[in-house]
Amino acid sequence: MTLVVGVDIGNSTTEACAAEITADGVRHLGGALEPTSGVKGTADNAKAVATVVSRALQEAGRAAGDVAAVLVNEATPVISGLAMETITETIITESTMIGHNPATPGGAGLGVGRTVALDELGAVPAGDQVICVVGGAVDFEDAAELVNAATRRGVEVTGAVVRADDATLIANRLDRPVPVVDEVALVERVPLGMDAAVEVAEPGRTIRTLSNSYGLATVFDLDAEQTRLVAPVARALVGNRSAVVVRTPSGDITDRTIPAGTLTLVGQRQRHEIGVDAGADAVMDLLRRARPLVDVDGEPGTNVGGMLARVRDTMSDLTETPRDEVRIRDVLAVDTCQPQRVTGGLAGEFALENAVALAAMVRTGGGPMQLLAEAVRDVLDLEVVVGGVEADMAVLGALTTPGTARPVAVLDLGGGSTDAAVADGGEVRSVHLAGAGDLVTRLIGSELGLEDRELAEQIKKHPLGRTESFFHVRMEDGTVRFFDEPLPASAFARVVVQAEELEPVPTGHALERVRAVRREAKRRVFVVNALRALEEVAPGGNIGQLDFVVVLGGSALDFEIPEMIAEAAARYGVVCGTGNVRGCQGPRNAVATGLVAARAASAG
Amino acid sequence: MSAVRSRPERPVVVIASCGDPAALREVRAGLEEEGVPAREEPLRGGEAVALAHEAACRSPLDVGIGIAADGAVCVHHAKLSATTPALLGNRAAARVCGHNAARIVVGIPLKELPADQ
Repeated sequence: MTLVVGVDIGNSTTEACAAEITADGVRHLGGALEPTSGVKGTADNAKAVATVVSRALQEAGRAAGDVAAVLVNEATPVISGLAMETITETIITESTMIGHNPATPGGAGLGVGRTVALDELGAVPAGDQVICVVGGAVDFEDAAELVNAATRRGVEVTGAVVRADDATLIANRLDRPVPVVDEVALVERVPLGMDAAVEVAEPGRTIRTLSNSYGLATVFDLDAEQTRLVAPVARALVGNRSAVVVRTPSGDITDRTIPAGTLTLVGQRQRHEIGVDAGADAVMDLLRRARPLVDVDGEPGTNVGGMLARVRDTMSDLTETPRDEVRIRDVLAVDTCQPQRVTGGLAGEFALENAVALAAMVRTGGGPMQLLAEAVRDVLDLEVVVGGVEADMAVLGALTTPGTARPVAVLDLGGGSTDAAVADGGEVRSVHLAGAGDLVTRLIGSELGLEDRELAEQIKKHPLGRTESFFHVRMEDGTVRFFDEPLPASAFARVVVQAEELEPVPTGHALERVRAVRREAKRRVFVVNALRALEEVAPGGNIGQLDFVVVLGGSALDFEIPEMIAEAAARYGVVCGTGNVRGCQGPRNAVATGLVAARAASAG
Repeated sequence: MSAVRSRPERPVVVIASCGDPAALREVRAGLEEEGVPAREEPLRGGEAVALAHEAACRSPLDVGIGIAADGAVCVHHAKLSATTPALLGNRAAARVCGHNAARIVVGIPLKELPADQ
């Protein structure tokens, strides 16, 4: 009878499994899980290893003195990096457009005229058509009174632009109601004495004239060439309930493509170069042609180039290999978008700009495992055995899932990388791909414009809901949860994440949008990578040749990722599901369990 | 059956104000900007929270606003316990309180109170 503890050092968690090996087989006694200390495969890991070993022994009710050996997997350092390049930019020059959606614009319809400050209204000759611009410190009753006085004199005030949240209040007090757009933060920068148009749609509708190029052409009497120039303005205003367009002589709004630098993919036969602004699909297409990949390089001075250099430096420091011998083994490019404040906007408008997110990973042949083993030995004063390639151990552990049989493929969905391994006869083929849980978090954060990474993480991990009253939340599937204690006012009518506590999402996004962003990010990273990884390890690159796929790793605990992958794999006629290691551990503890199984097999 | 039922009450937010006409005007402006009807009730005495709760209990929409003589403004909901109001602010927050009382009725996210509350 031998007591052993199998320890799996992963990128983000370290897991242990204490077991007794007897002549009849293996009896599992306890397990533990802890965040990995330091970068996987380095001596820094000893701290977490010591913690999980003693916790597993505690659960097993055994003393450290009884342990014959601590088994540690051959952990190779994997370092991954993420970067994002924004590739488009919207610039409004000379303040020509206000395209924001105040909650309560006033009046309805379209007004066209010359822009005039409120206190200059008295000097406007009768019969002129004007748009009134109201500054910050003006009371709504005074504003309405001045406009009414001008109207009585015969001035045609056709619309108003207001600094404060006053549009309905002013519109309600006008003798002749006109469209009013409010909450224009930088109203003092609206050019005066220029032709302008104000449009407000009825509640529940969106503007029709200013969001249409020919509508703008009609309003401002533009020729064909000028119409072509204002087309981006119309496009930027689509979907708004209210808008203001000021026609200045040279004012313009431009969509610009930012050069985002180039990426060099070094294949075995050829070097390929591609501009990151070509988009993710083009990058991934080229990557497929460049396989097998030898190295990747980015243009210095760009975000992507900087990230690749950082990844290389970290790995070079860690393993004491010269910098130019560190090879980037895989990249994953994903198209995304980023809300960015429009340059030159007057009301704090945001435009969704296109961006490309890139994940990269490097892996070395072998880390300083002996150093790590010694460090663990020092802390625990136990015999430490390093052995077993991680992929082999994962396969052995996965096979303890009920209902599996060889040949089996393991898909390990982690934080930094997506790994796959196939045991085909005696040989195990494995692959590590860039892009996993961390990239999903990053995509969710940037697409929703969240500053708080922790919140993006929560959105990734938990279903959404919307607070409908002080006492109930409707979840994204339509079910309702009631609460005994009133919910805070800050969460009222907001999209919330159902974590341990309800956490409001402090953006204006509708629940449907947040949900779509979350699911799309998971699909573009995990479904894409799962198929990419399985293709690489499957016999002849044909996923259909695999019989069983067992999904493992921290991200396999996600509430929707495993079913997304199962759905995608079903098309190939493969049995795919979340692993249940030893029939009780779920997708966790596979490598630790595999280490114990390998030891038992060699002892028996 | 409708013969025995009285005419349904108009849905309004109820405002109970003790003095301070300036705060009252701001509160009303906030409600009007959001397009939610309001009614004043002659409730007397006490501090803003108690006034607001009493007003909320009288509101067919379950939302009431109390304005105390010292300018304190409180937004309350009839389903909340009397001592834990939805929002409480000073004179400077009167406009936002009007907005938020309306937004509780409409069911859209509330505006932030001014920083010095």
